[in-house]
This record gives sequence, C-alpha cells and structure tokens, in this order.
Amino acid sequence: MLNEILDQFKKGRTFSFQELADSLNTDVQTVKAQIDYLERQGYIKKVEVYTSCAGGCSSCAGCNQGTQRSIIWELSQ
Amino acid sequence: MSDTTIALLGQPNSGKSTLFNGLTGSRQHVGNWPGKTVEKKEGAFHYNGINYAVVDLPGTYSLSANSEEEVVTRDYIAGNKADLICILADASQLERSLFMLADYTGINKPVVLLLNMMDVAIQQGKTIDSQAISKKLGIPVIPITALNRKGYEEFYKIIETSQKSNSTLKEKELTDIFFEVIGEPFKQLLKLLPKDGIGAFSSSWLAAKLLEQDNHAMQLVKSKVDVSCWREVETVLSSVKNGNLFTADCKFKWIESLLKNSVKKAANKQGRMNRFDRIATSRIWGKPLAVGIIILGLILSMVIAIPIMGVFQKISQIATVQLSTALVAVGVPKVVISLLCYGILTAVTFALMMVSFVFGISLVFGFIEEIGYMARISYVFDSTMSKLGLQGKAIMPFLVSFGCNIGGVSGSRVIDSWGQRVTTIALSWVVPCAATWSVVGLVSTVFFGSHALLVVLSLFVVASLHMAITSRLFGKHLIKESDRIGLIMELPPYHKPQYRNLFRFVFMRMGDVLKRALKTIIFVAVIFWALSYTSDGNVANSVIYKIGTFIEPVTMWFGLRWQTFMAFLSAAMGKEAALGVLAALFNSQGQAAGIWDVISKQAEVSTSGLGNAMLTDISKAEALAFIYAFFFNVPCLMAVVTTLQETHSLKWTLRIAGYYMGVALLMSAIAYHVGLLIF
Repeated sequence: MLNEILDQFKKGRTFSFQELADSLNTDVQTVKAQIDYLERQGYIKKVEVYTSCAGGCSSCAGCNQGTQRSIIWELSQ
Repeated sequence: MSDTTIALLGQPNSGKSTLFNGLTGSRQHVGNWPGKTVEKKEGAFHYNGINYAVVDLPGTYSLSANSEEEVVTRDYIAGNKADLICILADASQLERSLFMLADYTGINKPVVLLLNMMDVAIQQGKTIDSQAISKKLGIPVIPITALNRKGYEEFYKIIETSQKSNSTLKEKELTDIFFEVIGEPFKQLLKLLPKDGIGAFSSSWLAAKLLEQDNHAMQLVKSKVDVSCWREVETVLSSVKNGNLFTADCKFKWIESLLKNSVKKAANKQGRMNRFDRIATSRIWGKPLAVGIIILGLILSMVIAIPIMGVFQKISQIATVQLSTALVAVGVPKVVISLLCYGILTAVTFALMMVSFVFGISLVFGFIEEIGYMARISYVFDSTMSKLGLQGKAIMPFLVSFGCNIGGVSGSRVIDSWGQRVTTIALSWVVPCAATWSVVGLVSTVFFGSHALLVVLSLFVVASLHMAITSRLFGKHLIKESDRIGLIMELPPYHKPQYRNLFRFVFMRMGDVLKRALKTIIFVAVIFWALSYTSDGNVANSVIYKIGTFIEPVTMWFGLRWQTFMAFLSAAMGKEAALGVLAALFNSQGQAAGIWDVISKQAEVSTSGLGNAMLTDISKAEALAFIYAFFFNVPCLMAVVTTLQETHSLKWTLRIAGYYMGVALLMSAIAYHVGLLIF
C-alpha cells in the first residue's frame, strides 16, 4: 500500500486522506499512519503553510489573519 | 538490589514518561547511555515484596538502526538486561502506535503490551477488546491510563505473573504476510539465515531487517554466516529496491488484521457532518458548494456592514455640521475649518466606513475558517489550479491574498519552481484584499444601493476571466508541463467555532485596518485638500483643478473623471489612499449645499456628507468605471516591492505591474461603456 500511496503523488493532483483511504480500500487512520511512516523514512515531506505572511506586517493592512495553517505532504526531491 | 528489571518501550508521545514517573515517583535518576549522548532514565518501585527496576528506553518509532536512540534501544533489548519489555501503544491511534510492536515481532524476549490513553480512546467512541488482541498475539495486553496511578493494579498483577510465564510474541502471522507480499527474496533469505535466528532475533526478523538495509543487522549476519552465504545474501538484497517499503507494508497489514475484529468504532456521532463533508469534498458538488458559500458569505458580510456604515455616515454628517457651525461661531479662520471639515473629518468617516466592511467580511469569513471549512475550499479548487497550469499549493497564497496581497505574494514561497511562483504571484494580485473589499463595498453601496451586490458579483465573474487569461499570458513563458506535482492535504475536522478567538481576530483586523486607513487617508486627504484649497472657495482656481481638467479629456476615454483618475493612481500606492483623494476632491468648496455653505452663510444645511457630494458629481457609469479600474489595479506599492523580493526579477515585476495598470484602464473603459448602455 505504501507504494500505491507514493504512486498517487505522481498523478499531479491533490488528495485528501479520505480520498486516499477510499481508493486504497482502507480507513483514514491507516492512511495517516502510513503517511507518517513515509515522512519519517524521507520519501515525502511535510509542508506547513501558514495563512499569514512572514514579517512585514506592520506595513500591511489585512495581514492579521489568525493562526490557521494548512498541512500538506509532497514527494521529497 | 532489584529482583526484576522491566523496560518501557514505545514511540514518542506514547505516554512512556508519564508511566515511568507514575511507577517510580521520586525514585529515579537520569544519566547517559554508555558512550552515547542519549539520556538514560532509570528508577525503581516496590510491589508485593518484590523490587522492580524500571528502565525508560528512548522514545523511537521503530527498532531500525537509523538513529542513536534506536541503536541504544536495540542493543539494550538484545543484551538480555531486562526481564520483561513493556511496549506502550497509544490506544487512541493504534494504527500508528502499534508499529513498534510489529517491529518487535520476531524478537524472542518476554513482552507485554500496554494500551495507554484508554480514556481518550473511549472518548473517541472506540471499544477495544484487549482480550482478543492478547489471544492473537500470545502476550498479555493491559489497558491503562498512565495519568491515573490508581488504575495501575492490573499492570502490577500482570507483570508479576507474565515475567514467570515467559510470554513471547507470536510471529507466524507476520511471517506469513512477508511470504505473501515479498515472496521470493524473503524465502531465499530465510533459507540462507540460521534456522533459529541469531541470539534473540528470529530468522524472519533478521530477513526483514536485511531487506530494510539495516546496517547493524547486516553486520550481525555477516559475522555469523560464512563468506559464500553472505555473498548470496548480498545478491538477494541487490535485487530488491526500497525494501523498507515492502516490510513496512507487511507490518501495516499485520496491524490492520490485528485490529480488524478487536477494535470497534461507535457509529460516528458526527454522522451529519460526515455526510456534509462528503458533499463538500466531492469532485462534482464541492466546487459549486464552495462558490455558493463564498457568494453567500459576501452577501452576508454586506448585510452586516451596510447598517453600521450608515450609522457612521449619519454621525459624521451631524458632527460635521455641528463642528463647523461651532468653529465659525468662535471665529476660527476659514482655512482651518476647511481643513478640519473637508480634509480630516471626511477622511475619518471614510476610514470608519471602511472598517465597517472589514468587520462584516472578517466576521463571516473568520467564521468559515473557524469551523474548518476553509481547507475544503483549497481542496476543491485543486482542479481549477490545474486548469490555470498551477500547482495545487497555489491556492494557499490566493486564500491569504483575501486578507492581504502582500501576505499572498510572500506566501507563494511554498512553491518551489520559480516559473510557477511568478505566475502564482501574477495571479494572486487579482484577488481582492480586505482593503480593496471595503473600498469597493463602500463606493458601490453609495452609488448603487442594494444593487451593489450585483456590481460585486460582476467583479467576481470578470476577475475569474482575468485569472484565466492572465494565467495563459504569463504561464506561456513561465510554466513547464512537468512542474505539476501531487499533494496530500490534511483537512482539519469540523468543529464548533471559538467565538472568543473569532472576535479577537475580527477586532484585531479592524484595529489594524483602522490605524492604517486613518494614517493613509488623512495624509492623502490633507495633501489633496491643500492642492485644491483656494481662499475664495472656488475650486476652479486651484492647482489640482487646472491639472485635472487638463488631463480629463484623456482620462474620460476610460470613463474616469480627473478626480477618480487621481484616486486610481494613488490606489496603486495603497488602496486606502483612493478614499483620501475622493474625500478631499469631492467634498471641495464651491459645491451646492456643501459644508462650505455653513461656513460662508453661517446657515445650517442638512445635505452635507461625502456620499451625496460624490453622487451629485459622478454618473453611475463613471462610478462603475472607477470601481473596475480600482479593483483591477496594482494591489499596493508594498505588494509590488514584495513581488520584487520574491521573484528576484525587476523585469517580471515591472511586467506584472504594467500589465495590471493597463488591464485596469481597459476594464474601466469597457465598464464605462457598458454602464452607459445600462444606466
């Protein structure tokens, strides 16, 4: 299944855990555990995107955006 | 002297340290593992007349020899120093935390499994049949909550007995999976290895570790088998690539089958939410739903903002008249009254009205973010990004841009490819920031009343077209087909909004916008007031009027009066600046029924105020032209500077900025002529 997960990355689109679990016939918890493993082994990397800008906020009107963040994984180069 | 030594083994955050502290209390000491920098924690406790020594092994995810911690842990287990190994697993996420147990399978040392954090698992609605798990594994399985020391009784009893009964983990099932999934290479390795394994490690465990290219296991096997046998092992290993993926796959399969009938999840309490999420993330309905929610959000934020805006406008009208009457009465010079009432007070009112819109928008979209829906928006728009030729990640800078374009531009840093990044930045400029929003909302409400919403929607449609065309124009030079990469995205669970957080966010945002708006608008308003001030009150004699009317024949091509054209130009510095210009130029002296009348005639008038002043001067078509020019203009000077920093290319920064100015004027011209037909 780990290889199948890595294959999904090559399709060039965005998957959610639920979608991956559905397509691999398993549940979200199992997918999460495997994503964790792939990350630990260095096959994929986690990117956290904060929806606020990095610095320069004093000169910016709307930047005060709370601390919401998105977590995504992509293949390591 | 201790009678029995037990070792705690588990992944980080499995609650090992909590249990260690719970068991040993103050009877512990911390040192280092010999020759290592890894911390060694030892302690002791007493139960039923027996002294127990406890070793807290370093928290590791598996027993591979990848890190110093893992080597320490493995050497300790292999070294026969412990009488009993206690493996801790987080019961609330067994799929993940049982990996350590799977990796341990094949090591012939007495072991018990502790299912920690049972309280959390129960909260999640899980029923875990530890008896069934125990039967399958052949070792005791003890549910425990490490935080609750009173619940340790069962644990104490079991370690007392199991250490005598010498319970080892059944490995047959995992070995069968190895055979099934890996097949030939695994079979060959088993044949080559000593039948009974080496030391505490079974042959199956060693074969798996060899496939994982585990250095320590390789050294161990090499030292125990003859040279020709080792060569054969090497031949087998060279035929397998990424062996660790295969063995890990087997271990996950083993965990899955272990949990299959022993863990039951209660019917999800959030059933309705799940059904909603199926629609919200569906390939077909997800996007229309997201668009619907965004439009509804916009309508709602305007419904919230407009009454508040009206209140500020009313207060300002009354205050202006009162103030100017009072100032005239005490004999303040005309020029000061003019500055205060035309320049500053109007600017303050504009700033307050703008903040009303920020309140509406932040409240509604902050709410959408708080409940966890925002991530779904980025997820469902993935295919759209793909059509624009962009990476899935590009949606995030776009979402940030709704707050602030500068944030969006610097947020594009997550995109690795330069060409993709520049294209993403070029497109993110279209996204209206909070300030753009509030000015557009304000001006369109003043001119179009309840039809303002239609104007706003038309802007959205045109903005989508703009993005489609811009992506083609810029992408052609910047994007290669191969740039597109796949992603997996975590969608946070829906949750009840934390109103305290929400309102703190809304008010902080409002405060920020107000501060900046006041500074910019007042500054710009005063400059333009000064340029338009004349002692006789006739604006036609002012410098700016002369320049303005000189260029107006050209600007009218785009449907822009000289006043709105200047507002357009200054908006490229900062969106708020446009309001400053409008405040100064449209409240100028010489207007009928303006504040000027109060000063000159010392009479009270009822029809002052900015909205009215603008209305009398600009036609609806011209207003529409201005809104379009303003909306599609360069976001602000700071965004341009940030773009330069992020792209490291003056050429592309200037290209993008020039393109935006040009397109904005083109849009304005089209909007003007369409407007002439409609109104």
